[in-house]
Amino acid sequence: MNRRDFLQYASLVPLAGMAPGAFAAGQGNRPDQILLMVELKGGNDGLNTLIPFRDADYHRARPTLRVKNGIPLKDNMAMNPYLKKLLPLWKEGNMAWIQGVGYTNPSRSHFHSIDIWETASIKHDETRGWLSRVLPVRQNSVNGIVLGDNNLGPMAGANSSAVAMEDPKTFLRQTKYLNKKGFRPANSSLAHMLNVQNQINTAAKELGRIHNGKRSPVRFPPSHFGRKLEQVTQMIINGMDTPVYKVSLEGFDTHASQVDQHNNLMNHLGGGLQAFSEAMKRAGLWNNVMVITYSEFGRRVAENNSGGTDHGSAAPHFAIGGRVRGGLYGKQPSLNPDKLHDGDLIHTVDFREVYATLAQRWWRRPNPWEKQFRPIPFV
Amino acid sequence: MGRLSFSDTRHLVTRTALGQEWGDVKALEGKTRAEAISILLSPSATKTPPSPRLTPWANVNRMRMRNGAGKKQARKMMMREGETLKRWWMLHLLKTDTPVNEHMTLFWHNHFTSSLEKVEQPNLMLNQNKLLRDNAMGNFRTLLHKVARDPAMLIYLDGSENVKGSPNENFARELLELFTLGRGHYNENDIKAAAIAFTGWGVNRNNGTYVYDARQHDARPVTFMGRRGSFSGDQIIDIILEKPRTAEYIAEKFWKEFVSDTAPDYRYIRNWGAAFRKSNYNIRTLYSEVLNSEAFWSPRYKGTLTKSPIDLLVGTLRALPFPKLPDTELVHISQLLGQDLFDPPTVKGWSGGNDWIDTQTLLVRTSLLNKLTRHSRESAKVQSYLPKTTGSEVVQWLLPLAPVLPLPTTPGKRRMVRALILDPVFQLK
Repeated sequence: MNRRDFLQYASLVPLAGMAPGAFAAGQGNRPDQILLMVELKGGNDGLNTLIPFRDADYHRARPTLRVKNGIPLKDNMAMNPYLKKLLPLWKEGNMAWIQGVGYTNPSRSHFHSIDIWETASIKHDETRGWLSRVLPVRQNSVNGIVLGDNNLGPMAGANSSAVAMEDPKTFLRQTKYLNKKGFRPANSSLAHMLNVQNQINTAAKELGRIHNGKRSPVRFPPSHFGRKLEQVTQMIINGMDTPVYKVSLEGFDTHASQVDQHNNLMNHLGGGLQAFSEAMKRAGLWNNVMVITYSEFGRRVAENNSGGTDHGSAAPHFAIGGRVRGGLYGKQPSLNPDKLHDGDLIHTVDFREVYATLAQRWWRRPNPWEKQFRPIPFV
Repeated sequence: MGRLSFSDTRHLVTRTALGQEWGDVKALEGKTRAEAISILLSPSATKTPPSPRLTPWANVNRMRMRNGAGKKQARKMMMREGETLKRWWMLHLLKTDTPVNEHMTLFWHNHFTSSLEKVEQPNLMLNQNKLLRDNAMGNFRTLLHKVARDPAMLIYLDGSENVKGSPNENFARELLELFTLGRGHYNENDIKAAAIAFTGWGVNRNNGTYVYDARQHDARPVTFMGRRGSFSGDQIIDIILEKPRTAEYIAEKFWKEFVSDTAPDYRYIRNWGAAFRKSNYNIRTLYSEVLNSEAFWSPRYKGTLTKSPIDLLVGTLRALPFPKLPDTELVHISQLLGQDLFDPPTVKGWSGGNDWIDTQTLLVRTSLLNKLTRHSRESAKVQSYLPKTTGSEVVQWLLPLAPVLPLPTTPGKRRMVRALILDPVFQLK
């Protein structure tokens, strides 16, 4: 590498400590559009989440699992009763359901299908997460935080500027040994390493500050999921310069004795998100956040012989937020046995239409799937 | 051309073997390039170590076919034995006497990818691994023909589903796109034609071996790469191997693996490809061309390759006398570092280069090296095993470029080694 190249690298990547701070410590520089992604791990049973309760085929396919006391929303669709804490949001017009979300030739493998969702690549030849194609690359700030998981998922990729952590405390402990000093990168590999090092240190510095920052008066459910949402809340209200957060709720792979497990999960989901929305409202930030769910697949239409459901295909997902335009979007796939594909629902909305919506209508960024997928007007 | 310095031989060894063992680096010092390379690439008896104990495929299959519970039980067993297989390869990487051959085995695993996740059967992945190891430095033509009928590959790329009347194009597509020619050197009709030629190739479900079913073979004439005929799969491979582009594509992969992560210099690729083809695809010939080239030795590319997780984990433990970690932990760390053996993330394998380092893996890399070099009662012994040499030679031994962080001012060999290992430059080779 000659001296000119070297100077280019040196100027591209400011030395840590000399970095012209995008924000001054203690103040924060919170983005105006924040996305919280909630992964429903294991494959959520969409048919028992947003329920086609007047459809005779539903009752036939689910003799023991059918939900009889759903909360009717609109167009013969009802919400799982254990999501009742989210009903006020629906009534306020801040909850949108997108029905029949999936993709062509769905994979029934947990790993493969979540890869498809998170990379937005059907061909299995992409490792970068879809968000790294939507959000701008930023040098000295953190584009995304994954809580409760060591996998960057939708924010994977060497240039994605995201960090994943079990929880902020563990993360701060891990970063203790990371080099804090700046150095002169002699080549592009070192420049990349320095950039990643700076991202981690920036996140650690911010999280250290936020740890002692103000707290929301709202009480969160004392569950694992509730704690993660509380940590996200803490980061947002203290002005973390981060547009994306991701948390997950585990246990949706309900092959047997599904009823209690699924009700319990719906209860966690509804209770946690209700508290989160309340905290955002109190902080005056409800218009600046959107929460959206995703899952590797829905479950099969017919229940199995163990009181559960096996891996299926399309499912509904919902978005909540002050700027979300409430309602039902997309089309509920037919449950008529003749209209199923090998016993599975046929998707009516491609998941990339949802991503296109977030890119174009939420962040006002270019839609990377422009040629194939258009946004949906739920925001 | 002069004789190789210590720093030169360290460059040669770190890029071709697994880590820079002191003895290996020292042994080549003072030789000419050609001598050193010929010693390094000289054929040595490479043997796959004794296989791990895996349940024979026939037994697994019987269990699977029994009923739902049996299927579940078989799957659990295969997952457990998959972990056994990963530990087995990890230990072999750590202990092998032929690290250059093993490095190439890993290279071909990343080229001809298959994964336990899709194939599920550890036995078949083990057989593929042996195939790659036995041919790692052999002949690419032979290797390609064998990989095409490898049962794990037939399952991984759905070749076993490719039958007359219902062709599955997955294998044909990757054969052209990822294994031989690369994008832009074939068209969709070539893929369709190749898929038809490979119909009837499958796996015997009872014993997990390759089987050809003539009834499932579609013998109708097709046009492949401008040639018309009723081709067999082997003939398709031979046509592909006639194309100069195939040799150049493999040469490009060697460039990325051994020279630089930047776009290849075509002057080299053309020469290497020509030599490779002329040798009838002798892998050792291509390798020797690469290592003897000016590009390989150019200061422009020294210390620019990011160490893979295996380089970092296995290489460090092979080169330095730190306390050994349990094999389950080694496998777990390799997964956290982003290189899960036998489970590459996509059909393209690990993308490598800068992609090895993200916010997650950099933390794991740092904490691993911290843990290894931390002062403890056990590590106190390390001092006596370190080579007896000067401080500046230790720097040259462990780092490809000058350290970017200040070195400790207090004397002490172990402290010095720790500082060098924790320097960002240690992540490079």
